[in-house]
Amino acid sequence: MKKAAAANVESSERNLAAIIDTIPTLAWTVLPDGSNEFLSKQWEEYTGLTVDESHGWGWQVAFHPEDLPRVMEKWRKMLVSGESDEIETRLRRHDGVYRWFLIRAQAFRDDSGNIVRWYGTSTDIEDRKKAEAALQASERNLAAIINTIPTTVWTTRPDGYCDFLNQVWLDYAGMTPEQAQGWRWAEAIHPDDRKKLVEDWQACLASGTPVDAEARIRRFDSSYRWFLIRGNPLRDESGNIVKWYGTCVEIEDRKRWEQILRARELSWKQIVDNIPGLVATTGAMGEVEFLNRQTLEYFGRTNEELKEWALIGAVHPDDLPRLIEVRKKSIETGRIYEVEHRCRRADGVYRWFQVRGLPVRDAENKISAWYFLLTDIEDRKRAEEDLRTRELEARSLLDNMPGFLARLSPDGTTEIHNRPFLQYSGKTLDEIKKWTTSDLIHPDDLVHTIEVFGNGISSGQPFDHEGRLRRSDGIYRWFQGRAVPARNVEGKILHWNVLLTDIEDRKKAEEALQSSERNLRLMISAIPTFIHVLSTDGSVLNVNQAVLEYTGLSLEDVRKEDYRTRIFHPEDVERLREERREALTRAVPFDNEQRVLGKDGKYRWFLIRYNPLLDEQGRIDRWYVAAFDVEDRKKAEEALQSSERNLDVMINTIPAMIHTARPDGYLDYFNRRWLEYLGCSLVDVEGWNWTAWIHPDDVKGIVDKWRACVASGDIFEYETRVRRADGQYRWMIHRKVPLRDEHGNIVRWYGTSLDIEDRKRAEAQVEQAYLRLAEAQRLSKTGSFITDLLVDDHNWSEEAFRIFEFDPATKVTVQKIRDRVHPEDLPYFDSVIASGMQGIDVDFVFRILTSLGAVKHVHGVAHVIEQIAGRPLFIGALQDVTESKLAEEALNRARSELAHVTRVTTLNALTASIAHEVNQPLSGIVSNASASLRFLVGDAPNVEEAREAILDIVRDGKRAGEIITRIRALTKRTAAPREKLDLNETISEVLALIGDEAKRHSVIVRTQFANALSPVAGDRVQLQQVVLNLVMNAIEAMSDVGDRPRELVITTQNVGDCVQATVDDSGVGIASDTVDKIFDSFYTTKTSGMGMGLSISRSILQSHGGRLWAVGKDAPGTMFHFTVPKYREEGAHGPAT
Amino acid sequence: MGQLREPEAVIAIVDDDPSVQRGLQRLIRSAGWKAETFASAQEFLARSRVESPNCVLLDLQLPGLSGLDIQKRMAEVGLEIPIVFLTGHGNIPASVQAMKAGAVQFLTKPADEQELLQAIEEAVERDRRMRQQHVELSQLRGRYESLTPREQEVMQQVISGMLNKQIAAELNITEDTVKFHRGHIMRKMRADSFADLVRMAENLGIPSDRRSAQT
Repeated sequence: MKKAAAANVESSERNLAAIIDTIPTLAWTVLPDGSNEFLSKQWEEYTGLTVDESHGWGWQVAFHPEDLPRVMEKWRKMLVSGESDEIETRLRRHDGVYRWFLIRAQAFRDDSGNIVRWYGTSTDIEDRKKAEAALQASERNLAAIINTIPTTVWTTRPDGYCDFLNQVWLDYAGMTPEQAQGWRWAEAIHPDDRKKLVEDWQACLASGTPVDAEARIRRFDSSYRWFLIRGNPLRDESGNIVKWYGTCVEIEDRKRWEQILRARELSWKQIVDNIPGLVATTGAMGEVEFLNRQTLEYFGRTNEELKEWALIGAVHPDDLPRLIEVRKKSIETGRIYEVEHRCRRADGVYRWFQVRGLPVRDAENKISAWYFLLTDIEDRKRAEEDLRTRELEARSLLDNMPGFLARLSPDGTTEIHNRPFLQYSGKTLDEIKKWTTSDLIHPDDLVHTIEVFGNGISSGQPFDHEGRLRRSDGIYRWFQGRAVPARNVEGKILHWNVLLTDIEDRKKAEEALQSSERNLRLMISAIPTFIHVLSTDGSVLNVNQAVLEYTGLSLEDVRKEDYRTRIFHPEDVERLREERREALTRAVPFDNEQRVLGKDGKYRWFLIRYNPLLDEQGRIDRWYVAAFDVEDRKKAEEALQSSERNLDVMINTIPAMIHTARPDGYLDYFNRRWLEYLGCSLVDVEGWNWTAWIHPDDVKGIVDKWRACVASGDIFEYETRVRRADGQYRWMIHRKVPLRDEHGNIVRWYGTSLDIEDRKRAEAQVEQAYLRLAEAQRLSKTGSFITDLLVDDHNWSEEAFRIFEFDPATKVTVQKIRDRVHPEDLPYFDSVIASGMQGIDVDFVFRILTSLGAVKHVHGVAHVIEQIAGRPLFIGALQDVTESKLAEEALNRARSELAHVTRVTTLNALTASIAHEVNQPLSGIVSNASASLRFLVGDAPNVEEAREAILDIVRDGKRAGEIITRIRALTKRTAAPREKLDLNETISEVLALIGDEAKRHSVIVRTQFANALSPVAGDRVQLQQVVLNLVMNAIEAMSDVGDRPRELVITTQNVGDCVQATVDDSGVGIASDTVDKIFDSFYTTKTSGMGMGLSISRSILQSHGGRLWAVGKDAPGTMFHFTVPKYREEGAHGPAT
Repeated sequence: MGQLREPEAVIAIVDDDPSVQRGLQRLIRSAGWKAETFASAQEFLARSRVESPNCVLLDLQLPGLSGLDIQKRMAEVGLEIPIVFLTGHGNIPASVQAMKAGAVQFLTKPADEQELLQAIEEAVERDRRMRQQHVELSQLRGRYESLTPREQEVMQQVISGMLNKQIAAELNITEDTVKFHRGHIMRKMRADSFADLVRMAENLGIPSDRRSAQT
């Protein structure tokens, strides 16, 4: 058994050894002293040391030198303590490489507890160590990372207890790990966020869902910043959470942005919802996505409903098709979509909207959405319509205003012109637009106009300008144009409005005024008189150039208050002050004399005349003052005064009646003789008192004449009766002569008077005789004249003047007379004068035209009475024979009228016959015409017949025409001039008229015309009237004849210087005692008729210079003869009357 | 227009105005008739005696005789030419007188062509009828001339309505003879009936009073 047991032990030992040698660890035993007892085979294999080498203390060589001290130290402690322990050390492998081993030793004790041996293992932990090292390294790295990354990292246990926070976190929070670990980190969370965060965290812990929360975490400086806290659970294979890993990412900025964005979004949303527009967005294909509040409110529908907008009547049916079309196109092309259509409001009313859709593109430029804006343009549309209407109205107003209006764009381009302008200029709008280069504006005004226009447009200020515009007929007229800019609320110019006003007339008036003003100014400046214009109070309004030059003052100085004292001599100013002031209040001209200071410093005397200008009410408007330099005169006056005194003595001595007067007519001196003659003293006669000595009837005359001469300066001469001292009035002639200074101004009048009583008496007689003659002349309307023709000296009586309506004061000349002569009679007048020039007596009649244009007939004779120095002196008379001429003419006219009436009456009586006369050829015409038609119809038209018929028609037509013509001629009133006539022809024409009449009365008319009958001068119609009259009378005379043929024979022949015609009838004849009476007016044997025919006929022939008479004959009947003078060339038929 | 009427109908134009003459002449020729012109009544009357025209266009106013006078003169001398008056002076009394005196038409110058031609046609027709009547009458007269005196006598009695008996008594012949004569008369006169005979007698101007027949 023991063998078995021993064998067992042996085998188990062997097994044990096998195990020990196989297990992957180095096993060994050590005696209690520490020396090695046993080493497994592994040891040998590993270290390469044999057992022998390793027994005892040999094993030490395998230990890394760095580790050995530590190992020995620990081993000794162990040996002593007997406590098991372990240590890590490096052991050298057989190839020299050290590897870590974990050495474990355990003491084996016996029953007494004494350590028998130590048992130990050395396990290769090199890989583990390496791993450890790696792990440590990586742990270090990790830690580094974890502590460096800008994210806070944390981990917690599954229960949420935070067991790690990285450095970043700690640095940020300013906490130590102890302060933060566990749940203490929550203190760093913002109080407002803490609760939620913790709750969320706990919820996540419970549910295992990842944490995703935001919270503010307190920074080390106590400020809070937003963090995104994320945590993920780590699960084992059972799914249980073993740890939580998390980060806190700072999102402060992001959070802020978020807030801003949210705020913005809010405001955007508010905007979108509140803008006065309907906003909608759709997807790329147009499906409705978003509609703002306005849209929903407007349509009164929900977002969902409006997705089907096309179907719910949101858009007006009339607009829908168009809208859909445009949308489709827009979506296809991706172009901006713009359309106007009516949208149905919630209350059912349709309003116009303008819809704009913009496509939104993504990064690939594909359309991702559409944004739409719908703007309510209902009002705008209405406004547009109103505007259009108003525009039309404005347009029509524009076009119908009596002014030219235009509208220009802000840059000055013409946009519109109203119709009146277009009509005026005759141009089209396009032509007007090119006004800068056309002839619309007068060439002389064009350049300046363009300038003003350009400046005005660029300045933006209203401007106006005058220029001439061309009218459609080419005439230029002045226009004033005014351009005013129209601005919008911001002050920007929208357009220019231009008004053009025709100022041609005004311009013309202006020009006229300007030129007259110029003239006036020139005049005033030119005249060498000093002119002031004063206001009613005497202050100066204006002066002319002469004043300024003389005084050396300026216009300003003149207007100053001290002007008067400055320029006028102080003595004179004083002297005249009151007088002047008073005179200025009266609206009466006055004058005075003052000394004026010239620019040379010297005073000169001036006569100053003041003339008031009165308004319609007679109040003084202003004073016109003229000043005349009278210095020299004044000097002369003084000299004169002194010499006068000398003179006085002289004057009183000479035996003449002498007086003198002042320039104003005031008689201031009568010499002694005068005073003795009158028997008075100077006081009684000076001034104007002398008039008391003038015969009452003469006073006015002399005073007027004297005043006139005083004013005009002409030599005065007048005769009056003057009362002598003894009371008797005797005729005197007064003569006064002015004395002038070197300027020609009258200084004094010198006069003498002479007794002419006797002469006057003689004169009176002559006067009487003359008056009687004049009276006679007046009565007979005869004026007389004595003319020395060759020197054109005429002495005419009053009546002669009156006839010619010349002013008696006129000096008569041949030219003056000629000027009055009727233009038509001028040649005649000239021939009369020519005859007179040759000294031949003349007898003349001509017409004159008075100043009023009336015609007078003047008949005169002039006869040579004597020759003066070889020139004939004519004495003659003229007579106004107008009345008798007029009467004569009236008579002629009455006669002519009567003749006309008679003619017409006769013709009227002949109407039936005349009608018949015309009817004959007419009848022929009709028959011929009808025949022609008939000849031309049918198979074989007879053209020849037709042709001949037509020739006849022409002939008959002419015949009819002639008859009419002749009748017309006869019915015309006469006053045809005399013409050259063939009496045969003239008579034939009449006979053609009365042919039928004769036939009706069964009268046979025969003519015996002379072949070479001379032509006569006469009025055809009048002569025909005579023939007509005679022939009608003849027919009438034969109307009752039955027993003999009724024959009327008309003969013509030349007799001397006349042509004679005879109308011979076989009628009842005329008794020899009435053969002349028949020509009396109103004599008739007929029962009807006035009996004027023959008397008129006779007067016609008489006016022709011929005769008419009747003669009885042996056979029954009467012969009427008339003669007409032959026609003579060269106007020997008297003046045209 | 242009149809040929009675060949060779001659229209006389009496007017002293040459224009009128020529015109009318041409017109008549164009209508297919023949025209002859006269300037005075005397000329016309002289010619008409030789050969009378079928119609005459007459003016009222002519030298010498007036148109109406000519009408009267023609009637006096038995010229039965139908007259169409064509005058420049139309007055009612004249026209009435003219028409009463048997004119075909009274027209005023210038006359309507149609009216004038129509009037002329009418005149020519009338003239033709008249000529026909004349022929007939002369034939009738011839037949009457062929009656014996007795027969004529008897005829006269017969047409006055006397009975044969009465005639026989009057003429002292037998009734038979009367009948005998009557038969002859009827035959010679070519009367178809008693009425016929009476008419013929009228035409011939045989008096038909019964005075001589009544007792």
